[in-house]
Amino acid sequence: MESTGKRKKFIRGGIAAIFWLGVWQVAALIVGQELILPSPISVARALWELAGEAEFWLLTAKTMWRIISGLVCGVAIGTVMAALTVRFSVCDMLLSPLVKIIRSTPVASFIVLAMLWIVRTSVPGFIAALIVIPVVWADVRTAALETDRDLLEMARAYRFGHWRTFRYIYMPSVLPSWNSAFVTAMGLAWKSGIAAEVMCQPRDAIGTELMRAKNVLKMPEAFAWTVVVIILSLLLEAAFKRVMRGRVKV
Amino acid sequence: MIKFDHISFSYGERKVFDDFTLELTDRVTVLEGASGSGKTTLLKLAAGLLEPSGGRVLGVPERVAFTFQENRLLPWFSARDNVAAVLPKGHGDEADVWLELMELSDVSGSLPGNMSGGQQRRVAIARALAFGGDLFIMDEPLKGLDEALQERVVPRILERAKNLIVTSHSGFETELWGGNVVRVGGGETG
Repeated sequence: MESTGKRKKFIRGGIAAIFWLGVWQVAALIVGQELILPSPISVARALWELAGEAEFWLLTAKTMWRIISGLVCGVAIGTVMAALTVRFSVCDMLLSPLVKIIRSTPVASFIVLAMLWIVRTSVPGFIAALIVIPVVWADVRTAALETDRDLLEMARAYRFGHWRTFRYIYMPSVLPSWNSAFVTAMGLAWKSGIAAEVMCQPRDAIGTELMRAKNVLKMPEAFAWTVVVIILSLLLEAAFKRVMRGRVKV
Repeated sequence: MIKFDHISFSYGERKVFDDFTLELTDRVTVLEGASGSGKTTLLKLAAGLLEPSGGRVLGVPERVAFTFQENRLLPWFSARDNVAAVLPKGHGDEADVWLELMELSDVSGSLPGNMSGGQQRRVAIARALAFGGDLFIMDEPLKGLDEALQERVVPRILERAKNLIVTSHSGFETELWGGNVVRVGGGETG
């Protein structure tokens, strides 16, 4: 039953992909200029050529490392901050406005400032972390505050203590929200991290290559790098969902 | 002996107890009273889950097992894990004994959401028995159990509870529990 559902989902996804590739191909034919809109075939060719070079894998790995490390740090900081703001009112008073300011500040402003404060190669990871923090903080904080009061009273009656209360009540209550916040954060980390790479141009970075391809008018290559970012983002999301499957309360 | 010594308690503007005094001297005390008479509040005051705004609750032992009016089971844990959650580390296997006592061995691996109301109620009782202690406080523990089950479960609880304060909603239940009957909000009945 489950495999039939999966097959159906796969077929539906395949049909949608073919449809939009067709639309892209038709649009490229209508525009008729590779410089403005390269066709999917020329992008695929560019991607194939890129994938044949060792440098492609090196700088893809480096970009992944920067963004994933930023994502993990951001999620960890956001989670800890949420726990602190829920547990201690003084932390809530001090941290909540800070997180709200981070959330309202444009990414470009942070990138420009980060370029002044830290080494160029660290900017994408730093930005990814900074963008992720408010998302995780808000979701985890809300879920923790909405934890069932009756269960917490039961924990008090049965003397669960801090660790058991956290492990048996807070964690399962917060995990579904944390999980969906992580998926949202992942997408945001990729977008902001690549934007930071485009702006600060570190060595061995997808964003730097994207900008270089645009500057030398190699549009199929620029599109190919974008496709790489999309594929990596989707693969990581799928991997995360697989890891988390069965660990989230139903 | 547990003594509610001139206690006062209110939920916001609503006064539930005002300079209320009651002594519970029997091993088993059955609290009766109309809905909203303050039975649950009294039990929570005895367990230290609520603090009186005035007066004191005296003679409450160190370890109290509490069964709430609602089951309050952890929905993400199986029946077995719900019971094991109150046991000391490394004693999780004892949960099976308590579930067997409540005739729940066949559903020990089930989540509360997949169990009937009566089964969930018995898991809550098994949890209280597993926790143990010198005093058992049970708020409508027989809710959702049919009379035949009530007749089997009550003696098992009585056998294990050193001291028991329980609320009851029917004459049948009160008779099963035995002990001293106290009418909350209407004076002691015997």
